[in-house]
Amino acid sequence: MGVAYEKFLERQKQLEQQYSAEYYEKQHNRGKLTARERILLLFDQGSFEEIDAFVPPVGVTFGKTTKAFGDGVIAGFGTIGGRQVYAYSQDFNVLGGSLGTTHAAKIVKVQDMALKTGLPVIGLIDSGGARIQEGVASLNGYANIFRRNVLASGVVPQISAIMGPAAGGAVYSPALTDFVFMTEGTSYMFVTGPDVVRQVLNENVTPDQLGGAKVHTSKSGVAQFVYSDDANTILGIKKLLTYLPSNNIENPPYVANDDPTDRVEEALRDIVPEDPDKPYDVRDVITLITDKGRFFEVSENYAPNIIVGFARLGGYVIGIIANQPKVMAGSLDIDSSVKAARFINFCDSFNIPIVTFEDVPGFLPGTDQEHQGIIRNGAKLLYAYTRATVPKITVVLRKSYGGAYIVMNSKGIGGDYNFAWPTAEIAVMGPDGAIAILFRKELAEAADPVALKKELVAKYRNEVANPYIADEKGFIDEVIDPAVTRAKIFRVLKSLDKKSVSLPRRKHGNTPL
Amino acid sequence: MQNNIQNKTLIAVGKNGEEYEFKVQNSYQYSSKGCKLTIEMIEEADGFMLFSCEGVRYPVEIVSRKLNNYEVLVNGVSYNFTVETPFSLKRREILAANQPVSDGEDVCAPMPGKIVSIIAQEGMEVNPGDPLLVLEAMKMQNTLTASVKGVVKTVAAKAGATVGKDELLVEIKKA
Repeated sequence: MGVAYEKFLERQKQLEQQYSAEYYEKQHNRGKLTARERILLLFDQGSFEEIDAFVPPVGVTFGKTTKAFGDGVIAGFGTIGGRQVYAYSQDFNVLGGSLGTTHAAKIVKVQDMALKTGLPVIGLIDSGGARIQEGVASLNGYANIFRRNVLASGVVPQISAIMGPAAGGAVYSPALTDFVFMTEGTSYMFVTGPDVVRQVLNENVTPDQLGGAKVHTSKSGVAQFVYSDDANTILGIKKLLTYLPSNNIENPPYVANDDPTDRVEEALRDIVPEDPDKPYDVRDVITLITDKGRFFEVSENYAPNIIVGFARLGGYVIGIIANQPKVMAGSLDIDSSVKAARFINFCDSFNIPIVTFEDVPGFLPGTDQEHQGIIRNGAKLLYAYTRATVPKITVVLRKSYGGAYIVMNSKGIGGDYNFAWPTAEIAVMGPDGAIAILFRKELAEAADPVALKKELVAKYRNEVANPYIADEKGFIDEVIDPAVTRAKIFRVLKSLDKKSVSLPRRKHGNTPL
Repeated sequence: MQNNIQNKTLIAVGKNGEEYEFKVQNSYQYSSKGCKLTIEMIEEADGFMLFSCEGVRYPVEIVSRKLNNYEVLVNGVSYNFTVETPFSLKRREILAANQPVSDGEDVCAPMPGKIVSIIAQEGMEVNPGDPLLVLEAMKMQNTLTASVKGVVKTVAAKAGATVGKDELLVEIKKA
């Protein structure tokens, strides 16, 4: 090999020189890892293949420019846990990670390849937004990325990790993807930053208060996961990937384990308190049923009155939705309805069976909820459950009243198997409310209304609010011993393995928004 | 690079900020303060775990493990710690310097309801997880707890009163 090879080596050397000690130090002093370190942490050792490493930014005549190779983004593919994945990682050290035309074209290339090959896309975002110098061309770059985000939605899993700023239009790419991760303390997302907020509204707010990881994972629900630093965030992404198929045609990865599927858990008989007014932690129920007690929770801090997440049962991935009686009595409100609906949509897109654990007193009443639209937001959950064609299994643990009974995957909206524990209370409304309506006249005329009400409530609880009426009518397939819940769910899951549903042809349904 | 487990320096940081540095040579050889330690975890058939350090065995239970946060039970004593790398420790310092120090916690009503009973009293010392008051909502009793260590500054809630969403109930000042 002669001159040509020398020239090739010289070029490689120049790229390496771009990643100097100073380059690493700059990011480390901000408490962040560099784009390159993140990519290396994400992929299996030595598996990452970079594409378009040498592309230069387009020339500009106005403002600061750079000669950096790659235009501030590292893009390519490799394996994570042995599975092929596409990814890009924005480089804050190159013009603040701003999105130029070339930068955008690289991301688009990765998205197109992922869609063509049916592989997940992971975006590690650390960017100041559109590159002002490149003007409308950089805005069009965002538009191209968003369009592919939408095209790939429900076809391949898309994961975004915010590991630095994401401001302005940049926030909408993560918002269109399936899961958003954030790093505590060093990541922000907002449409308009604190400076503009100050100028326009005279409101003083720090970036962290406006759009930090805590805000988005607990208040706004924009992000699902928060981790303490870059390395842990990447570990979190890898863990999530173990539950996801590579595309909507594959099934999620089966991982054999030695937890017997017919494991009997007597402790399940005692978790639900005798007193219906006493709360308990539904996570205790979930972890006694799933393989090895493992449960990967999604959106842990947002709308904690409903719990959603991934687990395995007999090695097969399932999506779990459970009302949490410990928080707000497990009632359904706007936030929890939307959280669960979004999770159901994801599971349905990617062939993940849904298991619902139900203990819900009803929708949350009040002007606050009604005025903000609990009707149209609750409808999202109803729509999502009804539309889902993956296997759907429900276990009624305790309360199942009124509209919430219908919404939480009842038989009528398409539940494949509906079980109930002996503690279940299934009725149009709770005992107190029902008695007050049915016996209003008697109670008003009674000599001792309190005693009469108590007696009637006990009678109602005994005769109406139990699982046996629903069982006899076929709305519940079987009332089961809580101890064998794991075995029951596993058996029906197996029987639903080849479930197929045909729906009427349509462009798309008009989902409530 | 960082996936390489050999010759790694790690720091265990306890709940109150105490640091224990140790080095990992491979899966069984460790060193701390210049002393070499041979460590082994033995899992018995019934799921019981034994931790062997320099030949001495201790019963061990990993109570919870979430990324680098661990809670372990050794000889019946619970230890809560995080495992950090020198970089993640430096990062914590950088972030702590940038963060405004919060001086306490305002406990607000998570949903409309009725105050059943109040446990917190002004001037009372509280730890994370301590119950402050009981709020009845949706016919269920919810215990609201403190999330920081501190002293109760004011108790705005009154037993038997109805409260709206986000209404201030208890103010805690960090000790």
